Amino acid sequence: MTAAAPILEVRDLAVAIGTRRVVDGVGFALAPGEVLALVGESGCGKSMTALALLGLLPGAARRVGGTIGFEGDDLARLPESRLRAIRGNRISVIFQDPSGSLDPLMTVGDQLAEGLRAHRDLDRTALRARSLEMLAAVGIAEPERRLAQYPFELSGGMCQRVMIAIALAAQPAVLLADEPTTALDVTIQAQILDLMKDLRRAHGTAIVLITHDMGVVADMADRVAVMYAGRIVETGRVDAIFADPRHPYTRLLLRSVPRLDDTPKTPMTVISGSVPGQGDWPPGCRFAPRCPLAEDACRAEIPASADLADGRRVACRRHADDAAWGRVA
Amino acid sequence: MSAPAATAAPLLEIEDLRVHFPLRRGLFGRAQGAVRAVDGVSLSMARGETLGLVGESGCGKSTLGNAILRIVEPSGGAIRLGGVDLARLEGEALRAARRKAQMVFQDPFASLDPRMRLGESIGEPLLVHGLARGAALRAKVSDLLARVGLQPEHADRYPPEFSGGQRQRLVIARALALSPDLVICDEPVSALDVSVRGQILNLLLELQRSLGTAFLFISHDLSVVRHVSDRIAVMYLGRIVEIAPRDTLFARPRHPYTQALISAIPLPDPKAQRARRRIILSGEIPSPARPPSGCSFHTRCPLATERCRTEIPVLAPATDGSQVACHLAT
Ligand SMILES: Nc1ncnc2c1ncn2[C@@H]1O[C@H](COP(=O)(O)OP(=O)(O)OP(=O)(O)O)[C@@H](O)[C@H]1O
Ligand code: SF4
Ligand SMILES: [Mg+2]
Repeated sequence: MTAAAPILEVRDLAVAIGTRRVVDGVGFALAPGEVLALVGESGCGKSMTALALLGLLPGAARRVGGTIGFEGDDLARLPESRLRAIRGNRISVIFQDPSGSLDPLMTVGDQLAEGLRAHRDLDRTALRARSLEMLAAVGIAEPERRLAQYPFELSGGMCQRVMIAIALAAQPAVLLADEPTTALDVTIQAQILDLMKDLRRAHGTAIVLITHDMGVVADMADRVAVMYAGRIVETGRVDAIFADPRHPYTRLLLRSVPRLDDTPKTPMTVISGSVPGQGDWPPGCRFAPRCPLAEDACRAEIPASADLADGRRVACRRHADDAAWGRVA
Repeated sequence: MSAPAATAAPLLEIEDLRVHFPLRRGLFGRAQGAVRAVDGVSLSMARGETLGLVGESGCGKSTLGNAILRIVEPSGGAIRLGGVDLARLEGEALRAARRKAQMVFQDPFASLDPRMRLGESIGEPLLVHGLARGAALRAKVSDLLARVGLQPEHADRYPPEFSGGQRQRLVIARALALSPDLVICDEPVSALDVSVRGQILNLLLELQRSLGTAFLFISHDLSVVRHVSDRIAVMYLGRIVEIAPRDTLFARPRHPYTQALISAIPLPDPKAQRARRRIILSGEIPSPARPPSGCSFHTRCPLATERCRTEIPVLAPATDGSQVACHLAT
């Protein structure tokens, strides 16, 4: 269990699009310097959760409940002006599509400078020196040349490095990284994940890492929160979650990815049915229609979260029913 | 394992296939060099075999798959399918020969016409080629739907009513309608949710077994490719750098790029992943418009020597049935 007071503590967060609750009662705590992986499939509400934390929800989506404790404030109650001061300063964000999050009309140098100037008073020479230093720190070759270039002149991996450089310019306490390597090739992904590990070591930045890739989770996370259909169904330390998942969804998700040590050409474990549409959740436990252990009570009401001895929380009525558990996978 | 007899005539033989896209400035400008998307690929596939094709974005996997079916025009080389050179056929002859090979693309949403009933979509190839109509067509469509795990009633419904996984089943059913010898699957599960991918992979495995169709399985995901393939080819900048039986490739990758690629896959096992020694390549993937001289991997290769910068390594057979294009591979 983590002893340090959390740097970020989210409780009962809810986001709605019209009447559909796309995030419904999400809560987690992040310790300083910790990497928390928020895992789940498309539409489960991972990205909406991250966007809601900083008041960046798109279009029709609204935060309709919850508190977001950060450095003594409740971000859910702060006015936009104060949030703006926190964004990119104490909490930074990087998104999946690096080219989409950089301004296509500004050079890399100008975007870096803008990020830097927001936090510190630096003159032109100092700005340039610091920008070059940051590009070098994220592993960009020929930083002088890159400063003058526009995003379209850079590869996806380079754009993502620039995003990370900007995100970390202020040495934030928290980095929200939403699928930061999903659009990248695996050899480039390995570089970027390594870079994120280095930066966390060097600055003690805590990271909320949103991903659907169990390999990335295994590589990066201290703790894991598994989301399904707008809710967190299981949280715990990464080893515990992988060694002995206690929610049937977690267990099936882990078993249903091909592994380098499984037997090729044999039938893979599958989860029957498909992911429900965003906000279009079935009654009771939302995993019930796909769950091999579901019983009538599961379909009747949303299961409460239970705290297990190893610090885990699980929202499954049958998490301790070892006799039935063998049927999961 | 269904290791096809090595002596039988290959189903597909590709020789020195090249696809170069001219690079132009402006709409009507003169060509200024070319993107060498596929740059001298030779390979063969046996009947009933699944060949996995892996490599990173832009290395030319899709272009190679598309060139085999002449969806893009090859700039040179031969593509023999069942002994007939597709690269030399035109018109009706090409259309007839193409029946023997079908394509399944990544995006099941783009691949089906939303205004056509499923039965019509799946039956269309049969109708177009004059192979079935009326009651026989309906029976054939029902049979195809059942093969891919859907119900005959689904024939009267429209694509928007189906999830991504179900649609990919439909696309596969349509590809199978003409009983092809070869199905080229280009990233068939990449657009699907993780929990649905396994369903489609299981279906493909089942079809391999029951129909004896050969599959060229294109993916950037090595774990997925490993699960379905008999042999695997690794591409880098338009060329095949290594091709080997699946287990050989993973037990003993010979090309430095294959080694790095395998070692970069994050394993879904925290202990194993963190204990692992990894090769992290430095640098970016070069543009296929300006491939490096010599071995095109030399700009990122941890082993590169002077010779690598000047001399292109050729794909040469090794003793264990693999072929490797590297000056230093043993
Ligand atoms: N019609 C085209 N015109 C010009 N260039 C093209 C065309 N199609 C592909 N290319 C270029 O050819 C190269 C190979 O592309 P291709 O799509 O075959 O790669 P890929 O391996 O399938 O990549 P991915 O994993 O991203 O699907 C790339 O540089 C691409 O930009
Ligand atoms: S030929 Fe040289 S540069 Fe190319 S892979 Fe082999 S060692 Fe590396
Ligand atoms: Mg492709």
